[in-house]
Amino acid sequence: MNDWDESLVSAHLDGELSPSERESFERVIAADPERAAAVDEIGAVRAAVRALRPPVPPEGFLESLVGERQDNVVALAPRRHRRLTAGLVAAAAAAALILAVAVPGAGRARPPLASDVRIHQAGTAATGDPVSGLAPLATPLVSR
Amino acid sequence: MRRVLVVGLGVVVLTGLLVMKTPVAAAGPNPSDALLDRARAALAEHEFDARVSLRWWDGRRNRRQVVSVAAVDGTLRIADGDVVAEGGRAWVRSDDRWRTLWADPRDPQAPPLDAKYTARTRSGPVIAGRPTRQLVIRHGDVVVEKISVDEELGIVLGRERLDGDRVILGMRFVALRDLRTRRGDTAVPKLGGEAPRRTSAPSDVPRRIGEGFLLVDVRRISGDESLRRYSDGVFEASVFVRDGRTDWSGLPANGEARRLGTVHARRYGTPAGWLVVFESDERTYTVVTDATTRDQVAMVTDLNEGSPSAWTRFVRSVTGPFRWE
Repeated sequence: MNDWDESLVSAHLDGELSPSERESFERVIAADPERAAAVDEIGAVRAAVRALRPPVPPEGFLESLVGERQDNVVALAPRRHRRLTAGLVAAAAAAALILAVAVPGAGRARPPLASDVRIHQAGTAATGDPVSGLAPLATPLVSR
Repeated sequence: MRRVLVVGLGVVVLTGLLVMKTPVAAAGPNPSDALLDRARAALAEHEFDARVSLRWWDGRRNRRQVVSVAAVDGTLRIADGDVVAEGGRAWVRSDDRWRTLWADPRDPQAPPLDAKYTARTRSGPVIAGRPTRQLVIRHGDVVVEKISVDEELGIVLGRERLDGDRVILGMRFVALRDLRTRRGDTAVPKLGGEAPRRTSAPSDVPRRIGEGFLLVDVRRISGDESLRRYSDGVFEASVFVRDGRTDWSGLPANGEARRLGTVHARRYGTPAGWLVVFESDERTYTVVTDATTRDQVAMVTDLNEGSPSAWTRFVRSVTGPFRWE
């Protein structure tokens, strides 16, 4: 408990801990499944946020900006136009966020771990000892 | 003149170290292979009912489970017949249908055991009432595996794989009943097309990773999934490669977030060995292996960085004994 420092989680996930700090940190999470799960969860959220695509400007947005330029001076769009543009950008960002939250991992690889382990074991048993190769297949290979 | 001599001597010594540390790709007879060949033959020629105790380290604690194993009419049946194997092929029953796990009994050319390890036999423990001989495999001074074989029959009755001071995988017969010679043949399920299909290795697949793990097999699972199998003569690593970055949120949360060398990975301790998931270059890698953590670090680093250069291999071979992540 004493060597747990919340601020180390980010540093750990960023790979910025020194070897001794990392060892201490990993010792703590190895002994505490709840903290390990929390670290996993934070890592997953960070990965999800990183995966968010930058908001795509609505069609004609850039053209409308260029069209406003006069004599190297960018004129401010009318307030109503700016509101509309800002609204569209916000909507695009919200849509991207909703997509990322509602469909986590869309387009990403989700390896079927139990199947991978089965295939590995079957391949190992084919050339090694069949009993020690295949007996693990009767156990819950990867549990949630 | 003296400088030339010193430099020349250095080159000779370095070359000698490289030669000593470089495994030879050709397979050769070794105690482990001979023992496992005999074990497979013994299983094919005998029938029995057995209970087998499995133990494994799941990354946080030791786990244990007892599994039924029966050898009947030339097939091996696990868990009351939910898994069936015959001559290197294997099927698993799910939802009232048989799924082929492995359809190819051909033996890939693994490197010889003595390229990296040493092995000695000695008197083994009595397991399920039967005396055994034990093969002890060492990497340097460190024991990495113990295999206990029935003295009379040749069946493997016990096996322990170690990672540092810890037994990470163990198999041991706790009961062996109705031992008899094989009585007949049994019909096995049909081979399905879902089993991984052997294919030639693309040029960008590393032929060698980690400390002496050589590519022995490449298989296609589906359109964007492939399997590469590596062996160092004792341990195997199956490397599954899938296009796309990893959907971490879709993976079981009970793994340990761990840094292996330069790679952030999630690692699971399973009854089959370590399962390591990481992403690199827009691809998701799953490595299943019973190799030690030290070997995993070297393998994962190479997979992340591409095939290691000869210089990298040399530096690693020299610094290996002092490195642990």
